Amino acid sequence: MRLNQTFKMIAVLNLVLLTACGGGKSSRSTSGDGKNEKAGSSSDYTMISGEVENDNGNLVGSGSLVFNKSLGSTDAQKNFLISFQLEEINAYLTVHTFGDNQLKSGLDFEFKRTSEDTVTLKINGVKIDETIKASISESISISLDVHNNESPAHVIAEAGSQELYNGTKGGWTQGGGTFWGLTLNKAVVQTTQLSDAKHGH
Amino acid sequence: MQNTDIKEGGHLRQVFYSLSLLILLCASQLKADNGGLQISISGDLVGEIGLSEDSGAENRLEVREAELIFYAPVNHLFDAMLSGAAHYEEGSSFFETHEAYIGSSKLIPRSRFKLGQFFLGFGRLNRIHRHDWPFISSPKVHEEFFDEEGVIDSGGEYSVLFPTQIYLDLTVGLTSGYTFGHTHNEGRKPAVPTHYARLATFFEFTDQWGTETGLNFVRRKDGNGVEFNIFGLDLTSKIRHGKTLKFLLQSEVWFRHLISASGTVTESLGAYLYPQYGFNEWLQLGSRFDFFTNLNQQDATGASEGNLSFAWEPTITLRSGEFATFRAAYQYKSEILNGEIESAESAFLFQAVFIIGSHPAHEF
Repeated sequence: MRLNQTFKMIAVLNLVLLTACGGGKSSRSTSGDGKNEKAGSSSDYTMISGEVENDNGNLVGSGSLVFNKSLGSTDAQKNFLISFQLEEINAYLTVHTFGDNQLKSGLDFEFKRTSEDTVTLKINGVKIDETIKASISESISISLDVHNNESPAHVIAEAGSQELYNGTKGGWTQGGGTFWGLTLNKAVVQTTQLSDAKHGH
Repeated sequence: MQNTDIKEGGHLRQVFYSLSLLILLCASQLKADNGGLQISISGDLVGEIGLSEDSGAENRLEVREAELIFYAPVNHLFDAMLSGAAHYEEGSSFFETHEAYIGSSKLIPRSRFKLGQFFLGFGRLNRIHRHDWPFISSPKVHEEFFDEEGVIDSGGEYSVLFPTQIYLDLTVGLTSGYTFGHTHNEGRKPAVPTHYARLATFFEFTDQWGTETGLNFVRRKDGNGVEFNIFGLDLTSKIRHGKTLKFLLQSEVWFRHLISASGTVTESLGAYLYPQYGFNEWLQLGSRFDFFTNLNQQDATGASEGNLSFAWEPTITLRSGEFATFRAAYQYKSEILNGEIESAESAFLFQAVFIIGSHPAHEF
């Protein structure tokens, strides 16, 4: 008799939840300021240094900013999807991941234009062999999967369908913070998106 | 890195298959011996279809795991087990040694021990192979703290049943701790190796109703200075009517205090609750509820961020005997931040599990 009551309770609870959870906003994006939309459309970031302007939804200029929303935990794996343009030689964009709120002690990815058709990548200052072929007028779309819950951290960097780096050979120390942000040097950031790791386990 | 992994995987696979063939050839002879070599082969097929826009579901059926288990008494004192599993990951199946250990429950009175590589003996899910779980996916807290499947490591584990009136069983373990959970490398020498303990008790309320519960502790500090202390409570309660599991209640609550290499402290609390009702021997309906939160989460300005991950997974299970199981589930997952739903997704899950040959005795 008690078991039948228990079963009924489970069934009713399931029905209630099925009704309640059927709709709702649907997105893979999680916490953080990452939205699959214009990078400058949200004001939910804090400037750390320099000057970055919001030009029709694009972030333009030279400076560092941290997105206000936390990544949750240092022991997490996240995907950072960013599109940007580097219109001058020596212009660069650094994506800081799992840093503190001053973007220190994290895993940093620097994309720098070294010629009119080449953009290089450095991870925590270490130059990666693979380069991105992109002209000055081209928008570059990069995906960074950072598995900070592995030791050393596992990093997968892609530009479109091109894999730039995949592995742990750099012995990347796990980022020690729960924030992410950008450092622009004459860069134009068009979109940002933060989500769960794309290359899950 | 990936190429190296594949090459290593290929070499290991060759060794393992050769060994398997050799053992299979010998098996018929050994089988004649009462208590001889036992072989178990299991397949765990999982499919998922996204039901919400932008769902992370893969929309396909995959062999999540194919496992080979060999176990037998070595002699009158020792038992041994060797198991290997191929896991589907990123379009390829990666073979890995799951468990390889020797142990005994006969050498020391009231005690069991094992040496080698094994699933660490804490909690509930971590002690059970995934194909024997009562639901399809990993609870959020298990995935966050112990990865999707569980923590495997090499070392030693000792269990003792205290000579007390109530059932009291203590398990302690010390393992190398080069890695913890999922990884793609051999790890690094830890500052403090993984060590853990589980104190369990069992209540038999009636002949048909039993409940097991355990208090757990896990600690490790890795070579980079990342340190954690994990505390947990697991509970499994079962009511059986003959061969029918009439009611199952399974739950684990875990708390983790994590200190990053730079000193950032993250305190996380998570739990799952899974009640299941059995209509008869072959049909069960259950529903899992997952909760997870980072207790001290702050935004970049230092303001507190209230956060909750909630998931709900009603599951229907069809069994054909002990060794063929089919499950279907609806999965809803949401992330709530400062009282607002940040994201939500839903999916349909399907699972088929088969076991060929014998199978080691299940945990309670």
